[in-house]
Amino acid sequence: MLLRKENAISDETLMLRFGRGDESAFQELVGRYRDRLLNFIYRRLSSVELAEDLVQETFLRVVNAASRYQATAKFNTWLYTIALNLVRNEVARRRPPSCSLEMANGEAVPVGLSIENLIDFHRLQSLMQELTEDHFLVVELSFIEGWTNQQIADFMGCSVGTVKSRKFHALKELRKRMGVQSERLPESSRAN
Amino acid sequence: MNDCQNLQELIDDYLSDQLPDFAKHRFENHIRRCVNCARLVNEYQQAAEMFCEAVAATRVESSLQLKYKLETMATKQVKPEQRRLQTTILIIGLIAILISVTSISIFGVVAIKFSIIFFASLLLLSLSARFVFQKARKSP
Ligand SMILES: [Zn+2]
Repeated sequence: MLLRKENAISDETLMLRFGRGDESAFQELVGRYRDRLLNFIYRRLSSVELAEDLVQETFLRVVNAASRYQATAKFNTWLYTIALNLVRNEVARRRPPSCSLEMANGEAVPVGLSIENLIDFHRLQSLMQELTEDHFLVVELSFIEGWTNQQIADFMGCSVGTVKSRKFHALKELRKRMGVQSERLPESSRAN
Repeated sequence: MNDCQNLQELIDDYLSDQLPDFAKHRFENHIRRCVNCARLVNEYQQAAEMFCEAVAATRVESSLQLKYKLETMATKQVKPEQRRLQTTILIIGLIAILISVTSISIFGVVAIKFSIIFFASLLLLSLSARFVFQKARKSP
């Protein structure tokens, strides 16, 4: 998790500056979010090329909306909403509604990965399958993106209490799965 | 609500260091005494770590192509002031055409000369406006 310096300029200030024509402010925002966004999308679409296209599309929308931007909402919440909507459109476009449950089988094979990476990817995908979309999103935004519960609540349109309970249940599911994995290990390598 | 149930709701705040001091002490006192809760806290932490590891293992980096495209994206974009100027020039142009067409239809051939002079001066005006605008942008 990247901790930003206390005195760093906020995303919202940068966005307002960009809206007034300061291109370097946009480059700073790109630097902060490009790789994060790429991975956020890639985890859902399994194709780096496609994820890069959608990162571009997301930032293009930011550029187009720059002059109208008002700092009423957090910048990252807005950015990830754009990205998630693009992902959802893409998933809907790619997959006929009749087979929407077949996530891991066939279609979600990542493009251009080594065997090792492929194993890691399938490990993550099987974790994702243990969780509902909302539960995955909560743990992802919390532990990977480092958002506060309040930010996640704003993003998902629910209360902080709901975020906490989703996080708790998601981790309970993950823990169950961890139990399954450690039971497969030989007796000697177990912690207890 | 008993202590154990209460604690479960605080695990997240505890691990992300969000608890005020007194609540933190109470929390720590409880897990020292209660094996179940201590195990729960431990498992919660482990599950979060496992999740982060699984995600980190699939991390990808942006290609040079993407970096380049994002670098040039904002430069290509038309600035709001520039767009306003363009719209103004367009509207003035349309009004000029309207005036010329009406004057030609009313005054006939004589108005053609007048229209040509009118358009030429308008073109000169818009070009100089553009020049002034660009100069203003370059200076800090
Ligand atoms: Zn307890």
